[in-house]
Amino acid sequence: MLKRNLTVLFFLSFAVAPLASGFVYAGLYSFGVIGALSTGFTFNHWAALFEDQGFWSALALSMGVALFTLLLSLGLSLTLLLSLQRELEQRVNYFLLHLPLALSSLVAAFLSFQWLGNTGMLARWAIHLGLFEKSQDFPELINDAHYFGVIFTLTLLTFPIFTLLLLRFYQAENLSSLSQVAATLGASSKDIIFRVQLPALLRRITPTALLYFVFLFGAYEVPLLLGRQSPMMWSVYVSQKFKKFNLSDLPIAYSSTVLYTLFILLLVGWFWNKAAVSKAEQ
Amino acid sequence: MTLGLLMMVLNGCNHPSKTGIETDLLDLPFETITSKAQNTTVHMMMWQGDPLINQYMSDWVVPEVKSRFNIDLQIAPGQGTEIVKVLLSEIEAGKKNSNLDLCWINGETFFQLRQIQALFGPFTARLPNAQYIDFQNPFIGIDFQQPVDGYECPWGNVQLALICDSLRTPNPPLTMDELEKWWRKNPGKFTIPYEFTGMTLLKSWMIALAGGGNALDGPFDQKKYAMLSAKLWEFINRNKRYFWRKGETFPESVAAMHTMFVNQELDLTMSNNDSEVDNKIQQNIFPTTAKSFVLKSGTIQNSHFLGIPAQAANKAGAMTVINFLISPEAQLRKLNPKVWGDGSVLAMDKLPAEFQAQFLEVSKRKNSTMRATIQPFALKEPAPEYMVRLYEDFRKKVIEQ
Repeated sequence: MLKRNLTVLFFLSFAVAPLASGFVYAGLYSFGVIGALSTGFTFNHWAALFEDQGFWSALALSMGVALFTLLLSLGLSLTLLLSLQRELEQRVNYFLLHLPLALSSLVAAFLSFQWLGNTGMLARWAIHLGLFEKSQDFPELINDAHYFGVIFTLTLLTFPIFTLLLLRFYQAENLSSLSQVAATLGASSKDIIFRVQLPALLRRITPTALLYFVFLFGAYEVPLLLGRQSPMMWSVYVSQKFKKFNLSDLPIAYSSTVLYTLFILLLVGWFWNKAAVSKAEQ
Repeated sequence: MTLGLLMMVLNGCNHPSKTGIETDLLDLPFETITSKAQNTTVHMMMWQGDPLINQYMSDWVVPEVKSRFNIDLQIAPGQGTEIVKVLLSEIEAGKKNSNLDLCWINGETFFQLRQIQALFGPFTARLPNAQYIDFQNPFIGIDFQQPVDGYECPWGNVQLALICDSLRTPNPPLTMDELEKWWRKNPGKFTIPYEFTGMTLLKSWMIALAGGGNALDGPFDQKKYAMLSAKLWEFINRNKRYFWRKGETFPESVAAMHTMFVNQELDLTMSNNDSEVDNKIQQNIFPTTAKSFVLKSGTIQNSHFLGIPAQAANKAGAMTVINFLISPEAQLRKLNPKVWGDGSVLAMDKLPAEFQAQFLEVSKRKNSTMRATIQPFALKEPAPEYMVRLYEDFRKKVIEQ
């Protein structure tokens, strides 16, 4: 009992307390209660945040990029696994899948910059092959309006992890044998994929996918380097408010971080609740 | 935890104030200040984005202050807003001794630090080498329309310059009209960095649109800003389709512009340092055919400064280092484009005779236009609020349009 209590105390002291105090500090700052330039309690900073069109577009863009990247990575990983499962288990391929994991977000962003930019490798090859006359004619793949470069880079970082996890789940759930049993019982290939393999894999990957959504939603380096100033992702928006020249923007930046934390907590809480209900029903 | 939060809240209300010890320090003879600085460490924060500047500091200044004053000068990377955030956090946390003793700042940072009373001073009058500084020069003695009042010491002086490759652009545009024509003839070859240098160009254009000269002198004027910025956004928006990426996005740094200039993705880049071309050619970054020029309507000239945080633990050390950095010897070395190429803040006529000839010799430039040639086109920095507003409105009125 004592050991358990000590563990809880340790967790509360070193994990929860710093985060909670940071959250409270940000909250107080956002309401003007603290801060070197504060003039007392006010809702003005929150009002300014909600009135800023840039904030809403940042929120929508972050959700869109995170969701699209997640679905794309999942789709790629599932397609790769279900069509090349045996090949993926081979030592060389298995090792190659780990390579993107060695890349930090910053390095991956720079790689994309070098490859996809108007004067990058792809553009140079295309001009060399006579596909384009000038570098400006090469399509915009980074800092582009559709956030292609950002989604591409985040997908590059995400899908190998999903593939490795799904491969592990595939083996743990013994899906190879289950698929054979289903085939023996007369199931078509389509039935095997959609009624046996996909439900089992998606059930196992969902908690990780949700955590990844949170990670992608808060991605910073990649959208900073490969995104645009307008719209910008939430993390970049907040950092602009923190880092630029206007000190009166600081409480607005804190409002935004408070909102971000609440949003993530709500999301995780909703999923937790859903998972608990689902477990109870089983 | 509650107690901790309460402490933070209470500390958040604290503001630094001048203590008796600090007042005493300013009353001491400088020799005593220097002797107090012996065997101490000075923690400096400065922008470290240029290898030549870093070399000047680490390979020359650091060993020199060590051998002359026995001071360990520790340099940490960080610029404008980062310095403000560090000092603001320390003030809000009620920290009595700052982690910083010295920082490299300029106008908008000075404005922010004065807002939160984070600077120590007035100290410049106590520095013996301040006698050589050209304080009468409005580009040196006044920072973004704010009197320096001894709370920061001028360190270098630069003027915004545009940069082209004389092979690709033999006749660069020299007026705003010529710029418009050039953009139309060379679509996609120009952009504005969405940072300090870009905003400095916007200020230069805004002054030009106001009729030039001293149009934006004095404190921030909301009416003037509204009228002139409307003209500025109209000027940019009617041309931005000819900018890089059709003006839908802008690079986040001038370094990114330099890269695109070298890759020939852009034909023009810019620098806040009018002698940076020579500096970059020296580093084999720019082609030897690169050259700088300024618009006839003028470009902003400003100074950068050294400040001491109000809560600095080693103010004596910081003052000793600053006095060395503004010495004729240190300024002369810094002026050399092979070393840094940073304009001096010293008045030639005040310098000892042996230095005057050396300054004239080192001032000679190769690919950068001579300072004397561009001086008539120098514009004063307007009040810092113009920068703050331009930065925000550039996003709203140009990028988001």
